[in-house]
Amino acid sequence: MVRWAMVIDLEKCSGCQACVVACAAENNVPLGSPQEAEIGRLIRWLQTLPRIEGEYPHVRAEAVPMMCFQCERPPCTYVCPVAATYKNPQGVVAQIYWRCIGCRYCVNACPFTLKWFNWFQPRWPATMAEATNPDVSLRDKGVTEKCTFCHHRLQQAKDRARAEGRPLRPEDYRPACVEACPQGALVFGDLDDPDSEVARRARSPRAFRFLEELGTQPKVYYLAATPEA
Amino acid sequence: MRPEKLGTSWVLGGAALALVLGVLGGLWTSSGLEKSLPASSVPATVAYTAFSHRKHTTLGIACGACHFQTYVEAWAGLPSVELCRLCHRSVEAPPASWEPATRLPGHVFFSHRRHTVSGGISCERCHGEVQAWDAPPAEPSFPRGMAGMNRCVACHRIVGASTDCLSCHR
Amino acid sequence: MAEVLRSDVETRVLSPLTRPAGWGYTLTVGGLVAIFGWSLYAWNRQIQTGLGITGLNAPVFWGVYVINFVFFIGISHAGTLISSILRITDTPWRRPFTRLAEAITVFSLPFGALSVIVDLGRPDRLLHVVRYPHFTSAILWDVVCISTYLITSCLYFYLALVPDIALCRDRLPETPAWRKKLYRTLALGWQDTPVQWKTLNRLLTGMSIFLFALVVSVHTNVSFVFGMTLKPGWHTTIISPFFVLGAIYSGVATVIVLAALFRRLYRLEDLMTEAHFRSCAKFLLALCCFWLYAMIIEHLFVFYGKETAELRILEAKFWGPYAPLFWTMVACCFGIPFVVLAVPRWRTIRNLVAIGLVINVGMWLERYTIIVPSGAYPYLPWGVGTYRPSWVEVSITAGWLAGFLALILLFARLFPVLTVWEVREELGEARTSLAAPASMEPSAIEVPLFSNRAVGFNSQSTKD
Repeated sequence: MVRWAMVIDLEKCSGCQACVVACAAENNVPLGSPQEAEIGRLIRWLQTLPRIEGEYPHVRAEAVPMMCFQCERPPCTYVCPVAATYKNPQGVVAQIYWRCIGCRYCVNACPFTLKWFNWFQPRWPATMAEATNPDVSLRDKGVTEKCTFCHHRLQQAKDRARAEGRPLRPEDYRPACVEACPQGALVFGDLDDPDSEVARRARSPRAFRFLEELGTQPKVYYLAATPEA
Repeated sequence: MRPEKLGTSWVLGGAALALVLGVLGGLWTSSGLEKSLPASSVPATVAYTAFSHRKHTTLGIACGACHFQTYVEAWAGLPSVELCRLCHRSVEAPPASWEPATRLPGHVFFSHRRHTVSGGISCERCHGEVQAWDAPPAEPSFPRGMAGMNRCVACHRIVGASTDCLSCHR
Repeated sequence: MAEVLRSDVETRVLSPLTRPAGWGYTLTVGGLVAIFGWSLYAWNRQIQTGLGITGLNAPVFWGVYVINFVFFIGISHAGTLISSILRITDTPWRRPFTRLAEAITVFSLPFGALSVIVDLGRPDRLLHVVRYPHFTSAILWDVVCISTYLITSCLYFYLALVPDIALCRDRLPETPAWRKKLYRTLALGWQDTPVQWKTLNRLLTGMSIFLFALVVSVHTNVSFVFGMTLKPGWHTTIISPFFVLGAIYSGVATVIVLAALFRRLYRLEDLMTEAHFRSCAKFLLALCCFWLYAMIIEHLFVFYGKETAELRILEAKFWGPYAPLFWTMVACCFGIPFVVLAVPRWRTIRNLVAIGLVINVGMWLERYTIIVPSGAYPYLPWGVGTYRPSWVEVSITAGWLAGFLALILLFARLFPVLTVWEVREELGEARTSLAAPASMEPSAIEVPLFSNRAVGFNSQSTKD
């Protein structure tokens, strides 16, 4: 069985936001405005949060890219009254926008607050509106949306592999953020394959997951940055 | 139409043209058909919006001859007026307001290619008796009960295809 | 002699129904309906533009609408408590309040349900809850519970009303034809026969027991919506009993306010006596103390637990940005009511009305300080959310309150606000037990807080 997972090396991440842009462009996430961002209305399936540790002068800041952690035991799927969000057989937590009734219970239930609600009908500047990705739907106002590890890319990769008559290779399917990262800080793959790079890195002593104590078992691992000697 | 796919489209379009020409050529040379199909039975002037699937399918023209994108794209597509002109001298183009009756709902991601090429499913399996139509359909070209998620899921279960919601909705 | 008294109660209760509506009443109902209409306009605007028109945002995803939902479902429990639980235990002071309490249940529940629908991003997909039910969700169970509750309490309310509708049919000859027809239809051919009384009593007793279970389960379920998430501040063990208790507390307070209103409007001073209100006040005092207990326990556990995320919310409530609201809430729910209710000579009806209003404000704030801070201080991200309700949320809250009051007022124009047969029962009992003179003063009757009589309804008075 395949279990898609990601490892993010905070040592390599420079906080350049390339992944943020790639994600928004790939998944038809509206541009938003600084005003919207200020009042907590911005939608970013992937965002980099600044984390600051210690106090001046011994302060250390780092950028932490965060997308849906695709929990193995997702608290958001249990609470949905209409089963619009669920975990698929490959461990991806999906949101079916045309079933969602917009109660925002799942968003509240997510301890990481990594699901997003469409407060308004999404809008793009005219030139961008013509260039939305046809492989991903445009969401309506009033529904919740989230990262799916670019599931459409998996389907495309499978089609391609089938057309070429070969099995799916790990490099065939990579989410937009992983592809965009110039430092290669994001690694994606099958966690159930013990030889995959993801599985290897997830076993690293530097590996940790956010709020592991809650028992949701996120499938996005982080590799802690080693403090400079 | 997405630009990056144009190349394949043209290649296959060419292939389809050759197919149509071949079919028509075959029709001309075959003496049996010549009798039942005199030259005058291919009307010189036709209206796009008065297209009869019945007339064309009785001539033995396959669905894919005109709807050739079915095998390469997610969508089946409508034949262009130029394609009609291969046989008919003059074709009255549809008005700008004319819209095909069948549109995939925005929340469904359905690929014709995946079903016809990878799945090997015939057109009739979902679209039914299209060859009986004398005019373009006014309603979505599915016989009663052929469209809809229940129908999709029932078939997916039978053939063991994925019933994961994310496969079609995302 | 009993016959005289009996007809007396009937005339007293029925006479306001025959009086023409004064301009004060018409203006009030008109105003309330106008406010309700405005809220529908606000809702329409929200549907057109999306929930962005509210003050909600990430991470405060739930706000005033969810608070209103808990609030209206909360006050609806008054009816069930007073009319079913106190009916089962046969508590005598409940009698003049049962009808109003049931009316509050029946009329506030729809607004509770509506509050959830208003909160939906896609109200047009409401029926997905029925088409694609997902049974691990507390919201789905809320839908199940509340619809059961609504149907049961409507039936219960109506059944207890039937004998009184029959009274209206028989004793109000001068009403317009449409009202006569209404009474005739709704009375279901009630003829006051012993068989009918027996059936009614059996039905009401059975339903009381069912409602008793419902009142606990419904609000427990409302609390599950919060308690069964991993959110700091919501994920506590005491949240369910705390919610049920708070619901009953605000419900009883609402009954007192509305009972005093109709006592004054309909001149029912000798049927709803000071003694009744005093007994109710003692009950309210008990609830007030229980509320404080539950509130202290809830916060004490968090304080001793010292979990970072939980403590952040506690600090925000105690001396952070939510402190003004929190301490106003404590004053409204405990401080002010306790002081007034604890002094026997301060338990006047006027004070009780004021206390009732204060408690309701306090209980609304209590839900605010439970729901909003937990939204504003999530585990992740590390920021803090802010929330300020927009004009749409304020309008809809005002509209729902106005709609609720308008329904109560309209109901009171058409049907008796007292359960005539229950009050008659009480007067009949009091008369025999105290052997009062013909010109008795009902206010002199000492009404015990709880009587230890067996379960069941007394239909004695119907036989004489």
